[in-house]
Amino acid sequence: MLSDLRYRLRSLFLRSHVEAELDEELQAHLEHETEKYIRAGMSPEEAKRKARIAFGGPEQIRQQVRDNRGTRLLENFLQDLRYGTRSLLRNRGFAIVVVMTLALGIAACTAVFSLMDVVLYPKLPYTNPDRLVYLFTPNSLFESVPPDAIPPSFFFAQGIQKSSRLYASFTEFQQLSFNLERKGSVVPVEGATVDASFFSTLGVAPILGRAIGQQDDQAGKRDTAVISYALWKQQFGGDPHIIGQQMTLKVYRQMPEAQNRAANNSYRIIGVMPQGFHYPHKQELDYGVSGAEATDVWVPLALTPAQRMNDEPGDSYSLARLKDGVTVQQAQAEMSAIVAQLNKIEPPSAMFHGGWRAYIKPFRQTLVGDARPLLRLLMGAVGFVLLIACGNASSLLLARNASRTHELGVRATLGAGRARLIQQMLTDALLLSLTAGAVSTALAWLFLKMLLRLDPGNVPRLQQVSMNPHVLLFTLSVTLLTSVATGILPALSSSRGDLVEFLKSGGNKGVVRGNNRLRGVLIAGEVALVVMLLSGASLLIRSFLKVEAVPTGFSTATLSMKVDLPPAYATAAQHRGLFPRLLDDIRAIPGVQAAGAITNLPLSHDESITTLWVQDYANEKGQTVEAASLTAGYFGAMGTPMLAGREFRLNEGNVVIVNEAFVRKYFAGKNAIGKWIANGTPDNRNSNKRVIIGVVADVRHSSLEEPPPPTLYDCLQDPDRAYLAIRSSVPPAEVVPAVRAALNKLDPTLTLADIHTMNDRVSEALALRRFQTVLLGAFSVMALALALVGLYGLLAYTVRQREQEIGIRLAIGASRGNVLSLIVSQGVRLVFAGLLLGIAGAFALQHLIRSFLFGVNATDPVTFLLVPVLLLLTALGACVIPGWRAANVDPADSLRYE
Amino acid sequence: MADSKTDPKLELPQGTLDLLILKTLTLEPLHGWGISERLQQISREALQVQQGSLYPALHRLERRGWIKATWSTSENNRRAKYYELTKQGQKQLAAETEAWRRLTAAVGHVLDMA
Repeated sequence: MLSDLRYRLRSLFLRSHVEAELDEELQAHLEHETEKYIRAGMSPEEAKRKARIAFGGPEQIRQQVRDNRGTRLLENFLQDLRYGTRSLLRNRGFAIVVVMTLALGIAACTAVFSLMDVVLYPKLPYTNPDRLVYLFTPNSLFESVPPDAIPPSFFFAQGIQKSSRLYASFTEFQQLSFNLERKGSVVPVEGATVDASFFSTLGVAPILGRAIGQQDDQAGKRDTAVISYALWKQQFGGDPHIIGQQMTLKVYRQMPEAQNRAANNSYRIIGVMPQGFHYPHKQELDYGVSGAEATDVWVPLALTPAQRMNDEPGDSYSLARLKDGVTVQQAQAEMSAIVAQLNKIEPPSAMFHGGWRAYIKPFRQTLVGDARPLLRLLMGAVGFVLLIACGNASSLLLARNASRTHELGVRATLGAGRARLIQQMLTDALLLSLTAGAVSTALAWLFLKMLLRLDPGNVPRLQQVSMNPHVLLFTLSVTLLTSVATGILPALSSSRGDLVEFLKSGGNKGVVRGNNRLRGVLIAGEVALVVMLLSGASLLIRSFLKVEAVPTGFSTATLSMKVDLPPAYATAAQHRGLFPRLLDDIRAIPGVQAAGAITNLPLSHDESITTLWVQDYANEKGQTVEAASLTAGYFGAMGTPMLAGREFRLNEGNVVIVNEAFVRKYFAGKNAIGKWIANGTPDNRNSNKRVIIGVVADVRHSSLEEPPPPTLYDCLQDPDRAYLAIRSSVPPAEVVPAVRAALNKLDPTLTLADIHTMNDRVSEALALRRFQTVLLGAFSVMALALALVGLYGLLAYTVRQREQEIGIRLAIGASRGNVLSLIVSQGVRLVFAGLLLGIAGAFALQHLIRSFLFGVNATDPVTFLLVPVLLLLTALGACVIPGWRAANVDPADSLRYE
Repeated sequence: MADSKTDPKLELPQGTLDLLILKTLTLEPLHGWGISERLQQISREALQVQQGSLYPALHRLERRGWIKATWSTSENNRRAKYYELTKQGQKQLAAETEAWRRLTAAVGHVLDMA
């Protein structure tokens, strides 16, 4: 074995030396033979001749010896590589076109793959994150709320935990915002209250100290804390003796039911988590409460027995780790059964009694969100682009091989077998693809730069995208696949030369016609792919325009901003009517036409629902509607038309305004003014009646694409935080400082946040759609350009090839118009074939794009009219140029060569 | 190409050349020409080895480690590549000789039956 390897390596790397030795060995043989004949009495000349004859052809022997060295395949490959490099360097124009074509295709694939890599398969700082699942308890009563926005109440979470057999670990936690007070400064930090199995469920241990355990998580006791690595480094200077130190944390804001629990302010630090651990944060938690980017402090959940029985869904989340071998489906089935049981034992007095269902969502799915179908769509699109690029490269190689007929014929005559010719041509393709692969990494990097500029802001981890080793490995694999895809057709087709025909023609003729037919098929196939991409892009563009034209129910010129009050404003007395006074001051600013405030501004990702009971309606227990609280002047400032009745006056307690959708649903579209509604709680239904005083137009609230749900507005009084809406005749740049001054005149510590015109918010709401539309559009244009280049290349080549024939046609009386239409019709035939194929393909694939559409059908007639027209017009351009050249062939010139 | 009109020589069955080369090398190291001469001599001119098969075979055997080559001076005072049998080659020769004997014996039995 070893001698074998040594021999082969020597043959490979000391090639010239080994060859020289062989020459010498054969020479020695010849001399020995000659001497033998001389000794037998021949003359030296005759002896030499006899010896040569006996010896045979030295070159054949050499070749056979080489074959026996076991390095032939590799040697041939190296030889082909050298030869290919030389011949491509001579043919630089050809090589550049092929390399750039392929590089474009590979780079597009690489760019989209690197997105997938970071968005769909992020590295997570938890043990085996694929086993983690979230548990939710949706309820049909909350029809407008997504199922994964309703985590189980404590009562349900505890019940599930007790009865389940399928989880290795189960944790409950809440989010909480703190102010960390240190040495006189106040630092806002995001925190979480967690139970004793929180850290073990995630499978992460502290690097210092210990995690929160059973002894910390006791009812009514909350005095220990675990901190993040970042907080330890930044706030405590990485103090190695941090464990056991006290720190002061004050709850900044939390949901009302949690408020009474946060009496304690002093916490003993018991652990420091490893770097990068910041769970929970918004990318990994749907509908998180505080929208925290990173959690830095963890304190015990410390539930009281009463809280454990609480059956109203709140803001605590349930996360569990499945036991090994347990599937999500099994867990879902088990949870459904448990929830059905809990529905029965839940006290009937509970407001949403009985309607709970089970929903298990894998942790990874939360992470990826809506990005998965989008990325699949994009990957499909770039796959098409790459196929088109391969088709073009193939077509170019075929053309080149046709012009190499002479060379290939000579090689075949000299004894190169078909396999040998195929090997050589595949090596050419490999060489081109590898170069393209190298170029594509640079190109992909550029693509990514452009992609990040389009960042819609709601594709998770998009900004972390990079050309990492995964991505490069992908590029390499795609490159190798590309080389085969590109090389195989030309290799098979061009190696099938007819030797007899070649020799008869004196080495001039080759297999050319068949080649062109194959190229025509390739181009038609490319056109088909382009049609599919273009129709997809057109459908997305049409959807985008439809979404953009959706009536929002508000004026996009309105300026909006958030005011968030600190705990010092906790009671109504402390408020001292801050918002009404602020709004009065704002209305006094020159240029301001209207101003108002609302708790949940449209398109600001704030939602609120309320239970309700409606007069003269078949009410169901626990039915809910969307809700918001707003002040007088808000609708005017937003430009939302009042359709009937009137707006609120200052602090009106017992009246409400509803939207059109509300009137449609609860009053069958009839007059709602003067009817009453009540809170849905059974015991105070009669005491809490409120009268409808107005109806406003529907407003797109949570997204532009969902139809507005029935919504109830009540009058805003002394909120913790609210959005201001301001309409003015002067630009925002002048209004904002004046508003800030007005606010600071009331309280210098308050600040304005999230300052945007409604136009900005609409634009943000459109961002993901714009992202997918622009990308698919760009890839389609790229595909179209590649296919047109391919078409042009084929026709231009045909013209060059048929120059003599065209010359003859012209000489015997064909008009220039005849010649032009000859060439153009060849191209148009291909385009039509591709067009029909592509439309059929687009219809076959329509289900793939349906979920991305808004307001248009996947078989949208406008699209399927526009795309063929666009394609035919551009293709005609690509056909006319070579056709024009053909029409201008000089018959005298072209015939002279014959 | 063997000239069959003037030379009624035997064609070597596939695979036997390797065996014969190994055998000729049992006595002493030889160079390529020497091996072909020795084979011709021993077989009483019945076997003639084509150079086109001899040299590829020698290189194949060398690659397999059954023979090894050294350069030294030949009887006519010129550098020549001498091949000698390795230990592995001796084992291979013994095994192949045994296999050949059994094969010819078996074929002989069958042919003698008639």
